[in-house]
Amino acid sequence: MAEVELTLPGSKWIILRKWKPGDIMRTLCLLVLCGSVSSCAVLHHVQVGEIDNRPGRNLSRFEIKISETGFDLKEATELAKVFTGKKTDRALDQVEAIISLFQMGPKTGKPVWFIENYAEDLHNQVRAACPDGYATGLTSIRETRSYPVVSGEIIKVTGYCVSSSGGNRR
Amino acid sequence: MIYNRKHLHSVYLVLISLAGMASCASLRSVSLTPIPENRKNEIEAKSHKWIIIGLSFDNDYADEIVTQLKSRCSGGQVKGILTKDENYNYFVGLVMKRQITATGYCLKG
Repeated sequence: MAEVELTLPGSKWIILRKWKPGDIMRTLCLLVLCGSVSSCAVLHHVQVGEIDNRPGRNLSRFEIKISETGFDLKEATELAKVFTGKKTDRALDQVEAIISLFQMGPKTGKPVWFIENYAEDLHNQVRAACPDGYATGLTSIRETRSYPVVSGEIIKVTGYCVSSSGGNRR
Repeated sequence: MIYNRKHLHSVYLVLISLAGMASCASLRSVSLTPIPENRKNEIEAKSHKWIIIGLSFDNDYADEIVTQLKSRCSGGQVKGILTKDENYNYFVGLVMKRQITATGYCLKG
């Protein structure tokens, strides 16, 4: 089997490695396997609110996470092409084009297909986390955990419930 | 112009060095809370994460910001917080630095 020697054109002073074709395939398979089981975390937006750290106040941390499944149509189409024959490539491209017409517009992360208003209950959850009704240091984070084809579209809110050690809290 | 191998070596070295040293900065998001009248005591908190070849498995560095602001303004209120989420690309995007910067005003008393 021929060995592959990687050099820059016009120069032989950089030789990255002498690869055998079996080495390349094994390395590629390992990388694909690692990539398929791991997730990639992407941070889209972070916002920090005012912080009340005055004396006489007890701060107890809370964290709320809401997530929904995102779906990448393009990746799904490419994956379907791998398992089906070349005859269906054109049909798959047409289906992808039609469906993507309904996904136009600004967005963060991958489109969520099933429940678009999954974040609307967030303020109720913050109120439930702070029954006294006074939360401070609210940090809202919009992030994505990407996997092949699907993703977790996550909204995370962390903050501190303020309770006074005695007297008025404000 | 006729280049020989020595010239090509130098050209490659210069190109690789320039690509490695240069960075491309972008601002991903920014937010601002109401600004107080008293703006004498400005504080800042930063947290960052290095991402190599796009591999990042968590965003826990974002949770450090509030902790840093609290420690820099203990016993007071932090208002007028400007939060920036910045991205710096190095080595043609192979190495990235994600940085969150929060500046605000500490009010005591």
